[in-house]
Amino acid sequence: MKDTRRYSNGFKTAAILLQMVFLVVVIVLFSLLSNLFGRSMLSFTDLGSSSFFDSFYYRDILAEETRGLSMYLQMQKEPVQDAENELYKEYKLRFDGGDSNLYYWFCDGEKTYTNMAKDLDQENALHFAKKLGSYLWYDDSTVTFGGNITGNRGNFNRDILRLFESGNRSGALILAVDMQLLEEDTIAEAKEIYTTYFPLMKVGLLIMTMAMMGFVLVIIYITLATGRNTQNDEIRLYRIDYLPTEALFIIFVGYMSLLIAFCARLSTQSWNLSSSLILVGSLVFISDNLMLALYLSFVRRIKTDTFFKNSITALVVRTIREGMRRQRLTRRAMIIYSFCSVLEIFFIWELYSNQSFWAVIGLVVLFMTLGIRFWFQAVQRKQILEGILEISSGKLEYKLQEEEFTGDYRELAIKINSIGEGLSHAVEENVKSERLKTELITNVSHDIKTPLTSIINYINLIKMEKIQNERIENYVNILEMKSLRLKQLTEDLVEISKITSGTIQLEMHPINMVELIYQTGGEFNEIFEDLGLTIITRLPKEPVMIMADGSRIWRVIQNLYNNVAKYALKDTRVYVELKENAGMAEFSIKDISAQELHKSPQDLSERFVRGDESRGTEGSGLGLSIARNLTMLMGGTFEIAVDDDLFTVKIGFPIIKK
Amino acid sequence: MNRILVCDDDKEIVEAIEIYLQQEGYEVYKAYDGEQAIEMLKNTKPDLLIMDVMMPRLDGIRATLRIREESSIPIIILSAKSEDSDKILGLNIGADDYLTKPFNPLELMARVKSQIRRYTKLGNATETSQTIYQTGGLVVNDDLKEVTVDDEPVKLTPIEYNILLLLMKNPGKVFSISQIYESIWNAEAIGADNTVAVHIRHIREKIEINPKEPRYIKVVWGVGYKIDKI
Repeated sequence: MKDTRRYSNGFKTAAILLQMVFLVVVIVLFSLLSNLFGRSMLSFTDLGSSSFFDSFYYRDILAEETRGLSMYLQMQKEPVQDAENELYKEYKLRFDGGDSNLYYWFCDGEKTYTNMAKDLDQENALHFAKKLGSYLWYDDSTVTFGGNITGNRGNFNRDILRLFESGNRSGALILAVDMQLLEEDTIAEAKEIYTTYFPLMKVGLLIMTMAMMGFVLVIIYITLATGRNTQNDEIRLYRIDYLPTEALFIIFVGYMSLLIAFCARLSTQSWNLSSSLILVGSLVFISDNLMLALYLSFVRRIKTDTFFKNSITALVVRTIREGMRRQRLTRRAMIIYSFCSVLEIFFIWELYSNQSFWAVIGLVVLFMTLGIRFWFQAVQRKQILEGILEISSGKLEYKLQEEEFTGDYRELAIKINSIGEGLSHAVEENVKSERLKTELITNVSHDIKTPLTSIINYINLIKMEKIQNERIENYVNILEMKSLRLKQLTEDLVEISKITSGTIQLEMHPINMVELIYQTGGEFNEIFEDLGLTIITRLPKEPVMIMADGSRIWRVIQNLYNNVAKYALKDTRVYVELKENAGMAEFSIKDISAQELHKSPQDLSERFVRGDESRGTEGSGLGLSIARNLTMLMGGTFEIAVDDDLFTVKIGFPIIKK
Repeated sequence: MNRILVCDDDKEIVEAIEIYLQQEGYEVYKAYDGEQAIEMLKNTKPDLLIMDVMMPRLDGIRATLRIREESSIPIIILSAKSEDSDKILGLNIGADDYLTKPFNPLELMARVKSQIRRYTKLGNATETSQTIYQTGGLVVNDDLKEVTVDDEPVKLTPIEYNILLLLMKNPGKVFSISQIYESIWNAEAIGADNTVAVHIRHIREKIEINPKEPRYIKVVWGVGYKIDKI
């Protein structure tokens, strides 16, 4: 919260006012200072020192004086014309009137002109000049300049050299300014102006620089702060931000050209200071507000990524795209095809009739665009196809990268992803509900087992009492039988639910089917003998190896034998056979059913379906179902065939190499 | 007289077990949850503990863990949880036997006897001779041609005895039917049939408390038979 306080409205308002103040200061000072620059009163080279005699301004003034002096000297050398009389008088008064701070000594080789003492020769004049402080000399015999007035002297030199055009190669000029400036002349006046304004100018420049920096800083702050507020992180847009971006450009360009035209008009007229200040101030105020509003709108657009979205161009593009999307696929293809054809014909026509080079480029671009589009679509088609193949092969969690696709293909990718998602969701739900069912059944069976334990125990205790009554003994026997069946039923129920929900763990090992059948046979030998069933086994001599979970495959075979023991007709033969057939180990067990079989083979392996219908015998009806599900789980095949009373179960497993 | 502590939250089951145990001449103490069992254990010092898993306050698994911190009393876990993982958990945390509900009372009695015998005779180790093979409570004395399970003699036919001896001599090794056949009958197993399997089942019925869940002769389905060293 405290972090967002810097974006509060008060801060922002203060910042806007501050930047305006800074801007006004900058503009006013800039216009004043640039005015002074224009009058050479301020030069960057002068900023280091504050001495008048080192300044550019001083040299400028001196150059002006020199020009006047050189003209005056010319006039003295040549016969004075009437027209120049007034000017001559003025110059004479200026330089020889005795109230000049500028001293000169000039000799053209013959005659000497000076406002110093009359009888000074060149050497003495120079000596005098040096005493005065600021001086400049030129010796025409050696063509050399000298003195302590440094800096750019281009103007001086030209004016000075003009005096020595005769070609005599003799004479000299010495100029000197009395640094005490005792007389009231232009130079003294200039010094007074300079010493008054120069410090102010320096301060003004400093203030302008600081205001400029302040302006930039405040603008940076406003740029960061605009659109933000103290409540949340969202960028708030203003009404101006909903205008099309192009409109802002037009406003900007329009205003700028108006401003330039207006300023151009203004510069042709003269204004006094106060009215020009008012004018500049109001112009700055209007321009600043407008520019700031436009600028900040741009900033906010970029922040919210609506710079292009809010533009008319984007709207047009969107409208076309949306219009195309509304069209049916076929019509869309037709539109694109016609458009390209028209374009192509236009280019070709242009090429033939006008031999335009740009038509060639146009054609090339057109074909390249079409080619790239074609290739791009082929790539996307391939990716879509791969995705469909992945999903159809069972990898339901496979996802197409939607953002890699464009147009229709993106829509296609999204739909395929949602199909995959739906499928995997359904499968997940199914697995989850099966698991829940198993959990429920397991819990229920635990709850059943506890009272069942008591029942079985107490039945047993009753039997241990010596019961005299034969009827009661019979009842107890029935109770015992039923309670044991109940026990079997609960165990089978847990097992079948575990198998069908896939929560059991298989430990697959190589298994010799021949060995397994012998082992099973050993287990059932006497049970079958008691029932009068004869087992006829036909097994290969060599081991037949398959991959299976030992205890589970035993459960399968055991269930099949149990099934025979329960439902086969007494005193018949049971055929058990193991064959190798096309890489499969095929086990079959055949028996004659004691009861007529009305059920279809499919029904017989369903849960709780039993061959005898009467439910009088011990069996839970789950035996075949468990056998079938376990077999399938281990990758085997399970088949039941019923031919009148002949009941056959066949299971097959792929044979593995030893 | 051996003392047995029975612990189950189902009172009827405890009482039924009590009747059976009393008939066998054991002195019975009863507890109805894990906490009570631990307490009774300290006061009565029984020779064996029969305990349920799912009980209020402290379940059988945690109770067993706590008892095992200070006592090596034989513990038979009696539970309605019949998953292999439940059995493995029970045996791993220190139970000596695991029986699932609903159980056959006679089997429980046999297991109790077996555990008591082993526990009380643990001190006097059997004299180890080259010709005596032992695993758990099963002892084969090849000198006397005698087989005992928990000190009770078992009568086997010569073929059954030879098969058992073969397996006992090679603990952990799996013998296939034809291997057993060849070594016992000294003939090639051409028309091998159920014979060996039938004999094995007969041996199991004689030496195992519950032939369907054998402790000694293990069937490796589709591979053969073996006896593990316990």
